[in-house]
Amino acid sequence: MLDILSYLGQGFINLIDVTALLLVMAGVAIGIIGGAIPGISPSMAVALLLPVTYSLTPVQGIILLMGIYTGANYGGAITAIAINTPGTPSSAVTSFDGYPLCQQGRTGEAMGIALWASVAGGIISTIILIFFSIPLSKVALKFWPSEYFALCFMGLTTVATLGGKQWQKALAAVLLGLLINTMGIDPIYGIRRFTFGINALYDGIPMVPVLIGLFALGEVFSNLEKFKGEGEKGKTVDYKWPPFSLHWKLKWSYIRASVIGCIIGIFPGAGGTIASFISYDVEKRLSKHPEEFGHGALAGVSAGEAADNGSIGGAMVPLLSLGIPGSATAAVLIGALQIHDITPGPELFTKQPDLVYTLFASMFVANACMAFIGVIGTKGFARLTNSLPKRILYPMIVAFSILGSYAVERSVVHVVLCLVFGLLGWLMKKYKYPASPVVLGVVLGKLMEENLSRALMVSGDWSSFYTRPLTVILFLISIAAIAMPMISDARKKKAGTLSADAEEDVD
Amino acid sequence: MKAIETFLKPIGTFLTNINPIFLLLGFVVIMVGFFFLFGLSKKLKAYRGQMMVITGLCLFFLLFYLLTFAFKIRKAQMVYTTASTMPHVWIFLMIPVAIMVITSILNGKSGTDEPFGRWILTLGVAVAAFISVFLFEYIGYYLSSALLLVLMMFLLRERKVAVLVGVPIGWVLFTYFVFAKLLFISLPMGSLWTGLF
Repeated sequence: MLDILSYLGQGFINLIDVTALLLVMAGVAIGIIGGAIPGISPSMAVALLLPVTYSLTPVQGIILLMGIYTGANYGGAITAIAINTPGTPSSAVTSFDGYPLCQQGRTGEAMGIALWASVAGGIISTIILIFFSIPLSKVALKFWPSEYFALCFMGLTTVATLGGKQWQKALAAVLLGLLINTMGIDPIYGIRRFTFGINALYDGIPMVPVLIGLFALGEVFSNLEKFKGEGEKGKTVDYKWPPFSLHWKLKWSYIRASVIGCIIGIFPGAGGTIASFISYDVEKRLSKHPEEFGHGALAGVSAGEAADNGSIGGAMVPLLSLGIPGSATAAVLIGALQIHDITPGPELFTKQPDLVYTLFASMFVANACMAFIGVIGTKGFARLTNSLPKRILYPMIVAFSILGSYAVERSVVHVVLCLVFGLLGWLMKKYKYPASPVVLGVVLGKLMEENLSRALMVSGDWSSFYTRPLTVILFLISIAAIAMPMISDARKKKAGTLSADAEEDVD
Repeated sequence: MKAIETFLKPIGTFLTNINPIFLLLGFVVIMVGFFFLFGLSKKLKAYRGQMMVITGLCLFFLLFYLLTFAFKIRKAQMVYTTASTMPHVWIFLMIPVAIMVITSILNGKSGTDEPFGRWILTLGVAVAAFISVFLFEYIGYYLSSALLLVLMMFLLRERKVAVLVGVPIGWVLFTYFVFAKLLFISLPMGSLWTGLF
């Protein structure tokens, strides 16, 4: 313990340097901007700046990239809240309540909660990373394909929460997401499925066009249908940051979501998107006012953002202790380490503790920088989007959506897909079909299929799904997650009937 | 099971080999048919939009189901799971889910359909966006996106010439410097410009 603290202290001392601090600051600023632009994912932002690190020392290079990683994960929330356009897939959850808050004129509150939840998520997950990286990496190694499948199944149970009263429609939407995820080359046998002869579909349906289409374009198309000129003006918007008391009220939400984000982030492939969905689900279930979720619940914003940034610490666990990337961005970071002749793995902690703990210290500093830049910058963006007349804002969002969906793979087909999903998002919104389960299906589909096939290949039969304790536990949690609201509803109905009977007796 | 496969395989192969535009047209024709069908009953008319969405989804799932019979799966690969296992799981799960959705709609749990507003404006913008994307190849991204911006702003009743000119120019400059120069993401130049220069 003392060793860890002394190494960490040394890490902070290494950062007391103008160049290092400027690099963290620049990294965070670039990350936030990159994350806020739809189509620039955190991994892309890190990869774009990778060549810059050639001329830097290993420590400087890594802290720059960590700054980008931290900033980009938060940046997606800014556009998610201001214009319902999640900059990154993992910030989709933030838009569920962030955008309604913005529409209610509570932009400052939404932005403030998102920022400080991100900071809390980043710091809490870094603490977990520092003290528990070795034991947690052992847990990650115990995860077999059947456990991954069970984890994804657990993720799917969140659909019950996302749908609310329209849960039947939410189920249909999640199945649509899961089915369209089967398009492209089959991950196990390499067989073409539902590609319609279009080469761009061989890689399947990408996440970004679906996300931008359903959320950003769907919202714009829906607003265009109701557009009545400039009647929107005159709405008062509150840009005040939320008071400390509000953050204090949400403290357990911050902590829970950060821990969930960190734990799920550990498992390679799971990442911040699943973490934010599961965390949102947990918060809604624990909330005294679940009906507010989806209509501007602050805990909804904090859950998504804290889990998203909490997943960064989690993704670093297998990266540093085992040399296995926990996310796409972590994979790029491994490349950056290898460029500087650093091989991540268990020996890294013993052979180069200076580097490891400077990295940890830089994660704290990056979060502090994020708070600083966020406080100054995000309000400006929100003010800009709110002050723009809708007749300029809507065309700009459409133009950004087209650009964002093109930029990922430089494919026109992806832009067409984005527009198709935009129309679908509009129709779904109009006819009360929740769009978020489609995203959940797209996130989980491939992981489920790959792990189901792998589990069957590894064990030779279905036994791993009921003989492995960890798998069984995850399935039981999932079943409980589905059953609990049903039981609670049944109890409420029974209590309602009993009280109605009692009232009748009194009458 | 074998008999079903024998019966559906030629249909799946036919649908796989057909031009996707014809598939789309077929889908539209069937949906138009359902639109009129749901208009025949007074009760169904109140939920026509919601019913159209779930019908469209079912049709989409049915198409995918038929297409699975044309997958080129070798016998050696038929161990535990095949390429069609997962699609089949989701498609079969859709059957009870669709029944639940239709029941909940007809029971009035979701309320009646919201009336249409300025849907022509929405469709107009969507069509303009589609055309703009197809024009990438000919006039390039920059000109195409600038024209789209002008058109959309005009449709949304922007009449100030300075805005109609300034916003697209600002947008083109922003995308050029940020994407092409800073991020090295080349945007389509179009045959018009590559031919000229």
